[in-house]
Amino acid sequence: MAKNKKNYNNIIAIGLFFFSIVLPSVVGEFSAELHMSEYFNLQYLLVYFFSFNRFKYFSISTLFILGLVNDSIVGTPFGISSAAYMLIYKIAVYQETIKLRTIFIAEWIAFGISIFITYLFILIAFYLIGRGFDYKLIIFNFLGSFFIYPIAWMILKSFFLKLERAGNE
Amino acid sequence: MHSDNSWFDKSILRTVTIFLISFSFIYLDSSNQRLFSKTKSFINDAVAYASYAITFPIKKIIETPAAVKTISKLKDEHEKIAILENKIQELSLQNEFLKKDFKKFENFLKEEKPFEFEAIQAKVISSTSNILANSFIVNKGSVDGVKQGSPIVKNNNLIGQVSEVNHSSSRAIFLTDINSRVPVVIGEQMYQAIMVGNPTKKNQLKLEFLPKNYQFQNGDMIYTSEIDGILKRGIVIGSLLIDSQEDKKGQDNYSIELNYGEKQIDYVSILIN
Repeated sequence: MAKNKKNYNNIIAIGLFFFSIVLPSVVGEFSAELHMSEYFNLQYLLVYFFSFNRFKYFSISTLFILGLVNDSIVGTPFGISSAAYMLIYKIAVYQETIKLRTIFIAEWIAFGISIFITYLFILIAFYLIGRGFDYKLIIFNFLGSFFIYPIAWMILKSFFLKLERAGNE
Repeated sequence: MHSDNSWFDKSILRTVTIFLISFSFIYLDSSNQRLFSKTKSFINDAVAYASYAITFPIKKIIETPAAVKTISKLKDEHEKIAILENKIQELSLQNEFLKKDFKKFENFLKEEKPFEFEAIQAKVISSTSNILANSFIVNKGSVDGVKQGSPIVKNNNLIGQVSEVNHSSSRAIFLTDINSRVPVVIGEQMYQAIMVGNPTKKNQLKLEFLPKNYQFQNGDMIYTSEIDGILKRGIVIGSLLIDSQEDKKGQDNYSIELNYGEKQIDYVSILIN
């Protein structure tokens, strides 16, 4: 009888994503000056990475619910984060299905395109509902998220590969 | 890592439906539909308390070293205070003049009643800051008498305003939030203006609708101006700092120094009446 191998990667991935949603409130309690989320968007980065690598539980309905949780915590209009996550998910899944070569640069550029579309969507939505925003901050956030992706990619890849190996042993 | 999606997950119908639900949520939220607001208020309560419960152990673990430090620091301070108290006692006993002066001061404190507002104490259960919002959640809601726009103070200084009231929790925005608008009175000249949050400005604040030919002085105090009975007149916000280096064209030569900035906040007072 084949031994059942336990693989916690998917649970850790969804846990990590949920933690990224509540992380600002944990950080905010200890340091009012440290606003990590102003420099890059960790959640967009994780959604793209996990969706592109087809992690289980990263489905459109899960992202919809997690988006609502994020909106509730952050205070943005309900549905904004859900739509943003789902947009990134759809682009990531599409990129994953059409990719011809598994080179990182292609994934990186695709990530850039997906978050660019997402930020554009947020700007349009905020403009239409008459909510204030600072476009400079959004541009810096976009650039920060884009340039930090390779570092995050390396960390996440090596972490989950190690976990997978440990699970297989 | 790879998982096979079910037929429903792949279907365009599912995607379109969920996207439509999201867009309708955005629309309903922005148009303040009563039924949606009530539902949202309960969801917000549930999420706020759940996230507080989830992050509570993490916060406590991180807090432990700082708490140990604080206890040892408090012990030292307590000893210093005890020494000072002894000195005061000695001096007051030795010098009758000082005793009289002290009595005068005591009477002054009794007579001088500062602004008295009805306030409720609230605990901050979550505080978030990102490029779209700079807010925090407190554990008091409509059942406690909190209203939209209610000012939030810490150490008698205004730190924010309630922007969204749920059943038993409320969201408040910091003064530095881009959507924050507070009517203020400035300095001895009592200039009226609106203080708005501006993330790209120095100290993230600026003044709008200032009268023509205004002239600020360094250290001019900023107080709130009354509006619709919700925001009370005379709550201290901060002071003005004049920067002579920034006299370039089109640039303001002042910055606003908040008395109580976005320091770590645990408990706040909400002025409800």
